[in-house]
Amino acid sequence: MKKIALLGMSALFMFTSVANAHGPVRQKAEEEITINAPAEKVWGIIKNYDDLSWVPGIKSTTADKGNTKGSIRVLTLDAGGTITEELKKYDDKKMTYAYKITDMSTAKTITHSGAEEKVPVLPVDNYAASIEVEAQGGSTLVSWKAGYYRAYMNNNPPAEMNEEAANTAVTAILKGGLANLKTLAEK
Amino acid sequence: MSIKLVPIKLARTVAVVAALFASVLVAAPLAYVSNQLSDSVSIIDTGLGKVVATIAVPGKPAGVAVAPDGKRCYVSTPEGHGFAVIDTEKRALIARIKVSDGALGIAVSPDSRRIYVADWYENTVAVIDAQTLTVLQTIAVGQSPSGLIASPDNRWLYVANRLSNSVSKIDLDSGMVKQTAMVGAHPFGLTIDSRGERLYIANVQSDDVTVLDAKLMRTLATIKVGLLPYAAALALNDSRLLVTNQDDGSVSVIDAATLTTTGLITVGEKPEGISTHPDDRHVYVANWFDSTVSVLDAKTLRVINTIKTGEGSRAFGQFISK
Repeated sequence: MKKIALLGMSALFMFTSVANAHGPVRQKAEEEITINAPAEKVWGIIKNYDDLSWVPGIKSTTADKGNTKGSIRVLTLDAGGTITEELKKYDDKKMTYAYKITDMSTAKTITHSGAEEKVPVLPVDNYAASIEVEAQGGSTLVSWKAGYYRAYMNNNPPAEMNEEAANTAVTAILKGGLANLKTLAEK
Repeated sequence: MSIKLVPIKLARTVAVVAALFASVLVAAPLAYVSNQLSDSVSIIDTGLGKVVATIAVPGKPAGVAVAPDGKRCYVSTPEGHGFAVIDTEKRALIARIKVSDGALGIAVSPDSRRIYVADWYENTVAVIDAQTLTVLQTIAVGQSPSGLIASPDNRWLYVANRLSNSVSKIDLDSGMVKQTAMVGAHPFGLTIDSRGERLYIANVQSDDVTVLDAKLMRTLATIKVGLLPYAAALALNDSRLLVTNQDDGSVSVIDAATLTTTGLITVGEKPEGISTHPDDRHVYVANWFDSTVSVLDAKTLRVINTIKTGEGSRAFGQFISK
């Protein structure tokens, strides 16, 4: 009996290890923008962790513990679906915060290599990012950095879940967010 | 008075000349930094404090192990399913060896005769003959083996099994796992002291370092560090342990005598690989996000230089030549 259970376990173990093929390579995205407005004003727009209204495509944001470390926020997207993020670092003085995606809803389900794959609303995995506001004379430099993996963890990813899909989606959010922040701050 | 001054001056001149001569004859140790996103390895001359050569290494280079004899540098290439061999004298890629699908962690034996490659996917460690570059043996370990290091006497090989939350102790004579110890959550990089008595393991998920008795494989202490610790290195006669905290952009400093955290050094973003210079005082840290290397002084706990490398510097392993 024990032997059979053990055999079953090792078979299962082998199966999972095949499913989690060698890890993909971590990707990064970094966007910067110079805004002709004081740093305090720019930080004032983005400083509340529960307010992402300055990022296009975000319908609403709620956070359970405001700007304290560990606070969990849920972003509801215009296109439908949610992204859940945990606040990892917050420094009001340095005008920066860092967060991590902990959960996402599925945008669609595709079939790839004979298996059903759930494509998350942002096609990434293990996503961590930070945003920083820095005074530069009269103007302000904002930088937004993210490190992440593609959504597909096995070899030979489908087009919807490969590195290109991840990089395109992340870059679009960072670029769009910063451009809109500039518009709002320079008003 | 003036008679006494002359010999001192002379002695100084002799010393300066000797130092110059020595620097011509013996090059400063080199640091080999794998740049995963640009498929290259940057070679830093630690004497000059800058990159003196960049070698193209296909296959998303990640792990680095410099042979103690200084002749070769081995770089794991996860997407090349093996590792690359760099001739340190020619500063050229001379071979690409296939081992298995998930080659990541890599180490060299203290006698430079064996190369050890951990496979993240197959849950094995391959023992490779450094002369023939052929696999001699494959040893089953825990799940997703990551960092590995041999004992200074070349008797044992220690492997951090990331998904099993354990460290395996392999008997290099028999090629069998002798013992396995549970550590923190998701152990990744590890190091051993020069006497082979203590292991220090960075646990990525539990944000701490496990200190293990290398003989008995018993936990001596668990020390909290920053967010997502990646790897660790010892300096100053094993008295200080430096640990890279990926998500804090910092290096935690631990006093090895009291086993407590005594300092924190801000480095670049997403610091990963960490290695100690043969002078036993300077510690080099590869900053993945910034694509730079920070040079730390383990004595003053200051960053003394920041060197631009290639995209996505990882340098996971012992990456500085003796």
